Amino acid sequence: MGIDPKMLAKLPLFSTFTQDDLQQLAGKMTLRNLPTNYTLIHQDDASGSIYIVIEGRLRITRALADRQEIVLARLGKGRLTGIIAGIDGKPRSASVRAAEDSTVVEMEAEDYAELLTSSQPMHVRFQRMLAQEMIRMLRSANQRFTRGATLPVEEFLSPRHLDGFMDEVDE
Amino acid sequence: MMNFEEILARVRQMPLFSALSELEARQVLEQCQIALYKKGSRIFREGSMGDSLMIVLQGRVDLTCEADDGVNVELATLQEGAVLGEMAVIDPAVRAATAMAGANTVLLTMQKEILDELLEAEHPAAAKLQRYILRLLAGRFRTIDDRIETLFIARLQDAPPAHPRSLWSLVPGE
Repeated sequence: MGIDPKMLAKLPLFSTFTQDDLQQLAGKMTLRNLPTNYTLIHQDDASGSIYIVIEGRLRITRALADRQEIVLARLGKGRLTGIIAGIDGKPRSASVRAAEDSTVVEMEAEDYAELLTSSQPMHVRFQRMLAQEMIRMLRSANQRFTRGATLPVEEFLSPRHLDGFMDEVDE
Repeated sequence: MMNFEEILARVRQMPLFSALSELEARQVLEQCQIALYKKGSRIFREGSMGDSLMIVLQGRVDLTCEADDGVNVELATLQEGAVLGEMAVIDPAVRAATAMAGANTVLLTMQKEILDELLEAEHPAAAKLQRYILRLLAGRFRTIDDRIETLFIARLQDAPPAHPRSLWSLVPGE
């Protein structure tokens, strides 16, 4: 367990964190390599780990009837996912899969829960970062689906060949 | 108009402040503004810059937005205890809707700088307020995801295209 804190230092997500903060956080993280199409998070599962994309791309999808899926978002390097369920204690609201061979860092549920509940200054900074990331994702979803309301519905559905539409929300 | 102690008692029953101790609630409330809006008066306008969070202490707030044809569309009505603008105190942006007082309405307003100063000072209330905002945001996520799903199920069944002019401005509280 533990990753090189320099991996986090490079990400804008952690720009307000000190070296010490990053050292602490990095000690709670594990590096994972995901093959294309690997399912990292299953919709409706109980809450669990959170993940940061280090390399590659993830696809967030929501299941519809008839085995169809809406692509809610695609996440590139430096983006965070899996954070909602730990906050409200409800099941996973969407699935997350590797859209290509990807590398993520994982923080397990217990460590995440501690970061969410404590008032230590570093933890409060982490909570701030989460709020900012959530707002950014909410605004992005709002904008994309509002603008897309008149586009053909197929533009939003999996499979992969349609993903190009989502590229503009990436870093 | 209510006095400070009455307002304190009332906000302590409401979201955001319910997480605070009495002393913390008092200290935060002293930094907030309370304003009365007459029925029919405008609280903020769609497209204007927003950097404050509000709680409906009394009365109600109607959210509307202007459709492409210039007609006002009713989005939601916020009742007592509802919070609006929780994104604006973290990351200011233009308001997604126009807010009007649907009755004589008392609003508590917390500016972004108040939360920032409390955080800067490591005031114990700051972390609690921020964590409450995180939970509110998580709720917004669930709602927006559900709305997207509903929208797409309808569209896949060849329903006439909906016009979710702004998905989250349909979410009560924002």
